[in-house]
Amino acid sequence: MEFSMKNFKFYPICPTFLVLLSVTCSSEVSRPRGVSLSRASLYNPDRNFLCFDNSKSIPFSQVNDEYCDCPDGSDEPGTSACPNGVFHCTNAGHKPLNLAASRVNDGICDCCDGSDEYAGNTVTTCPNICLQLGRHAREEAQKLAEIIKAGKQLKAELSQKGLRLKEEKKEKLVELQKNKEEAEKVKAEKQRIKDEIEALENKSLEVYRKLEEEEKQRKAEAEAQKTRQEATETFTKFDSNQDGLVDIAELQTRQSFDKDRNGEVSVEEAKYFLNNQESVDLETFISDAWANIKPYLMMDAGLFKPPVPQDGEAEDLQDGDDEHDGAPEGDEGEEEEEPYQPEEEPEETKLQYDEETQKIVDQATAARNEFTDAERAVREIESEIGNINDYLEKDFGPEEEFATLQGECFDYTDHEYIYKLCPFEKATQQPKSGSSETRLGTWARWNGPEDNKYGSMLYDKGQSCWNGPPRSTKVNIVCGTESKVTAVSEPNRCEYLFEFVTPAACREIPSEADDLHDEL
Amino acid sequence: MLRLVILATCLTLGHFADHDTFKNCSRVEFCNTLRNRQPFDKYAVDPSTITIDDNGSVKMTLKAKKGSDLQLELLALVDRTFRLRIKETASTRYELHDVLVAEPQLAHIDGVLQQDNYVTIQVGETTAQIFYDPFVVNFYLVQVHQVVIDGSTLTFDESLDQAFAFNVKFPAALQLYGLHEHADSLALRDTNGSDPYRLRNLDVAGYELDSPMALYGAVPVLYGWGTYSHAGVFLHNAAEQWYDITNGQWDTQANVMVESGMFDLFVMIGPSPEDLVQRYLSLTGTFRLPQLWTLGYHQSRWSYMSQEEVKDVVANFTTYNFPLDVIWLDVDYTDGKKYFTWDPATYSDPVEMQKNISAAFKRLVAIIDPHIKVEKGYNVYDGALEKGYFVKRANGSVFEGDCWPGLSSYIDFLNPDARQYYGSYYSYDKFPYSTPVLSGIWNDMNEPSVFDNSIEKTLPGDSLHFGNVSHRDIHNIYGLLHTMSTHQGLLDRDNGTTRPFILTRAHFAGTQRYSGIWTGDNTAGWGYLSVSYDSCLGANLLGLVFCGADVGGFSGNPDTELLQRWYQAGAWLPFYRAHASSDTQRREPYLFDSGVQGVIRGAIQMRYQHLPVWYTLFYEHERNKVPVIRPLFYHYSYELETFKLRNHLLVGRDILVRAVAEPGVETVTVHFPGSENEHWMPVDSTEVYEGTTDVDVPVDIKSIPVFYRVGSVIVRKDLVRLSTDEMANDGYTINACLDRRNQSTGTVFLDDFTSYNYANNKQYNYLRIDMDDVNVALTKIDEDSNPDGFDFVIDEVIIHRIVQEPQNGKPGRYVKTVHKTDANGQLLKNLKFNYDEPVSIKLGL
Repeated sequence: MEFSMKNFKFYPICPTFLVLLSVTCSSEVSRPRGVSLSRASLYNPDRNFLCFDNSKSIPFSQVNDEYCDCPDGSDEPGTSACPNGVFHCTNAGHKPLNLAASRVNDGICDCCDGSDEYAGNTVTTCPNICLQLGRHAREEAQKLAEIIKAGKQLKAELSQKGLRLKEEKKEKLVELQKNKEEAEKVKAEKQRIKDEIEALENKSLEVYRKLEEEEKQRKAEAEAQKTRQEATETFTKFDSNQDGLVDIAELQTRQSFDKDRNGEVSVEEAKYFLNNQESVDLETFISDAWANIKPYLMMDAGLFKPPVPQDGEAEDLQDGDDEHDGAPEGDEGEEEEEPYQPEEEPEETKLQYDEETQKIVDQATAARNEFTDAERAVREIESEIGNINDYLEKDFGPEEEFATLQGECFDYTDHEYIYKLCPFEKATQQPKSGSSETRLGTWARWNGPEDNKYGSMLYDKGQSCWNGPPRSTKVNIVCGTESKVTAVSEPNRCEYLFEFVTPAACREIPSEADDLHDEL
Repeated sequence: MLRLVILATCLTLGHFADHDTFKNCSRVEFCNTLRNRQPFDKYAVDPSTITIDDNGSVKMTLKAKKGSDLQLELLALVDRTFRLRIKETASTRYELHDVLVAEPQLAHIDGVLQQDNYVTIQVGETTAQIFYDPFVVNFYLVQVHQVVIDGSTLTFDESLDQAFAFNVKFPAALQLYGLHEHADSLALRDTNGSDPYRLRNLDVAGYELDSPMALYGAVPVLYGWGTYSHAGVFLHNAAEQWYDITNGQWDTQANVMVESGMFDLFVMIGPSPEDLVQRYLSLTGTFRLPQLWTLGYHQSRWSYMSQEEVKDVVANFTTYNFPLDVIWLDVDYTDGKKYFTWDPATYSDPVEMQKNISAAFKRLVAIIDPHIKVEKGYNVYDGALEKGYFVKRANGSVFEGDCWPGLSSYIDFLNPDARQYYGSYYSYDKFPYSTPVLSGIWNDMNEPSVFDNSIEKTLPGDSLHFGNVSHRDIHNIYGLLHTMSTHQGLLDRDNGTTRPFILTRAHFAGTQRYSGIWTGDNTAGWGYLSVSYDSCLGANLLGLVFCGADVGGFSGNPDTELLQRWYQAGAWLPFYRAHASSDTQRREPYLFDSGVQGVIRGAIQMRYQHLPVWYTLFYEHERNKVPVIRPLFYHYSYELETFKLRNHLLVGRDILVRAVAEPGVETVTVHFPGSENEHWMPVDSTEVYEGTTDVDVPVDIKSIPVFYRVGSVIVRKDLVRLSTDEMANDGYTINACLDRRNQSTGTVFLDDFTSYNYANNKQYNYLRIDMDDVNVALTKIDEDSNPDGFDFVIDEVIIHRIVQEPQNGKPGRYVKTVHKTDANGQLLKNLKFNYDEPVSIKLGL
């Protein structure tokens, strides 16, 4: 038998130097390697060992003999023999740790007390660094505690401001609602006045409206006459052989119709002007061809620029109209949509009203203006109420501690970009080179887990990535003594992550002190 | 901006390749012409010109009925191989070098029989027979007709420039394999009605499945597979090629169309599949035993954007208990895509990062591409420009084209001095902040890729290399030459003490001597998971044994089912790396819920348990010229059912794996090969399955259908830690799958896992393990090897014994017994052996 005693040797859990610490050893219980204090009683050297899952009872000498007896791995707490085993390091002076058995004697110092590497067949030796680590951890914890303390002070102030702000908003809301009622009354009154005077105005203007119609009619007729005359003259001019028909050959002699400016008038070009017919008589000429022909004649005469397609068309044509009436594109249509707009009527059609009528018209105009003002006043109040409601609906934290962040923006610069977080509004990114800003997301909601809802914000529906999804940004929020963005990354394409510290996030964290002292 | 352009290309293509950029045969002039030509029976041997030299060389003139005559040379080589070379009398064709592992050894000609219309040359049991008119070359093994070169289809013509064509028939074969690399079934399809298979190394973004389109690699080998006889040809030519394929009894053949270079054809005669693969590897070499860590799990992404991110990923693998050996750096670690530099902002302290990685017993692999940024003041560029080490345009000026860095020039790796120059940058002093933790190199984009769709995204054929060689003549070996340079550079860096690890995308015959390969930019889809088995099995038959596919798929986002299945299937390919494109969701395994994590962790752990199997197989590949993973028809070629089987592979001879490459299934059909005397035991249940049956095996998401062959010994390390280094001192578990005679046998290979001492000083422990139900016998295979320091520590022996034979299609049953002590009650792990004598251990109960 080559079993050496080392396989089930017991280790005192209080290394001698620890006695020097002010903390005293809670007990001198010896226990097999890799067993936590809380489980020590389950390993009694005077009895057989019962696997935790009760599947087997084995002689105690088989505990930690590097042979896995228990299916649950409980007989090998100090070796890597069981694939599902758990090794406990006491790490006196620092936090205890449970390791997968596969980490025992793997050459990596997992436990700060070095207890997981004892085989000696690996090159690694693990010094006990728990005291240093523990001290460091305590210092860190201390620092954190101080930050939290200071942060909580600041948070209280922020919270006060936030609550005050909310109060003010609520008061303002009440006031605005009152104002709104007033304004609506005024509006109703102005409406009534306006309706009355407009009814009167309508009646007075009836006779003038009829006159206007007649005038229009007359003008249109005159224009049609003029067009016909002009067209007839042109027809006669073009009809060189005077056979009562204008044909392609006759048009081909006229350079005006060289549409593509290639020096000759092709059959196609000529045909275009004859509305795709070989020849036309006078009536057809007037009805079908003239509309095509006239612009080219005008162009030739320098009166007309070639029509620019779409948007430009109307404007350009208008220029021509003023000087040279009778362009086929008519004035019809536009006026009918707005029934009453006397001051915008074209000059020629503006009729002089008699004094009485003019007075009524003036009064009506004034009443309309007043009504519009009253209406605007109501709208403005409504919009202000809307803003306040939005604000009041926003969740600025249980104590309004995040409220003052609204309206502020925080920059963060890395080697390539300037990032900006405007809480409750948006997150953006701008290249340092100065080109334009990209929206990384718009405020959506608090996004933290159930137990820490205010630990994370989500900004979504940002600008879409090229050929990708819309950008979105998650903001992790932790306690700090001043509000700032401390890091930005893009863990997934188009998904950004901001780290944001603010006093508003300071709150008591569950103390780790218990853990620290557990095994001391 | 450039990045945008690239993304544009990738994204708009989606799941189909860009057929405007990548041409089919009809748009490639020589292919279009040669494919549509009629056989014109132009040549006849002039018997008066025949000269035969006892040392294995036969020469003669082929008289052309019109046009110029050709010179034929037939070399008889050792290992039942012939070499047939045909060229014009005044040939200016480029003669390829750099590809063969050594000058092939000539065989002695045993007999010559010269008749009126033919001459036969006998070498051992093989015969080459050349008919004069019509001109035909036949190859026989004993009396079995193996390979025919049909002279009536031989096409050389001045009007075709240097393009040529020929037909090769395999009378004893039923099915053709080879022509790596295509995203298609391993069994080559008939191309009647489709494009021919193309070989031209190209950077095909979003490549599509079931397609004869060219991909990143080209291996111009055809294996004609029969049920009793196997023969093949290897066209020693690096120019663009197209192959029309026909399969069928008495009609298995290929029409081969080549753009330029030599007609230089190796004819290899089996008869067994093992023989055939060995013949080919005798010509082009083997993959050297890799370092053990390269067989662990690799984590990659395009790209980990900063040293902090790298450290964070490594730390998370530890926190979440996922084994990991290697973390990879894609292009963004560099300063402006200048290789051999680091981004000063995001990788400001590479040395500290490497220390951090090393402290967790992990390693680093970084990408180094062949294109060099055009930038005065960049030392790699300046030096190469000054010394004339860049590829030139046809007009003699230095070629410049777009790639990751923007305007780039391309190292002319055909020039041995340029290879030396580039390779020297891997040294620790010339690659700043590199340390031995940078343990391997990733050579990507080496087709080479040029971002210009008008030239099929690669160098123009008329570009010029060292010695005024046109690029078209050597296009397909550009990647091979690149890895050759890297390989020498890494050897030099570490004074020849460490086996280099290189991964390359472009590859050719012979690449296996320098580098492993992966299947390039695949896509997150079930079909791509499936085709990864076809590709890597094909590669393995061609010596490119270190092969894998991006786990999860490079482009697109796999759902969790696909990702889990891919981790499971990928664990059984030789190279096991997850990689993903920059526009995909992060998918490191610790990011998923604990259920998914559990499945993935299980798959990776299973890989680590079997690392002794993989390591031993890689050793045996180098030693015996056998593939590491094998299609079933490699060992069971008498079973026609195995010829077109997909999603199955054998790891070595003894482990059968059926990838679950279908979504939402509750059973998968597993084909168990072998006669009724062959039995298979699933690793995760107690059934026993009989050979030559198809069985619907139930699966859940955790299942990986893996089976041990009855009669085998599978050596594992069952304690899985977080990396191979951490497991170095752990003992082994022997799994003995006893056959009817209560016997089983296997091998295991141990050495220092890193150096060449195994090869140079025979410092290794290579054991045969023979088991019965109570005894373990260990026998040193090589008398003169030195196993000092490589103790085979046995943690436990697990005996698998059949207790109920399968019958009438119903599975049988086996039981396992675990032994940790010998008959004296000693723990097996404490036993010390002297391997000079056969070791015999009687097991305790």
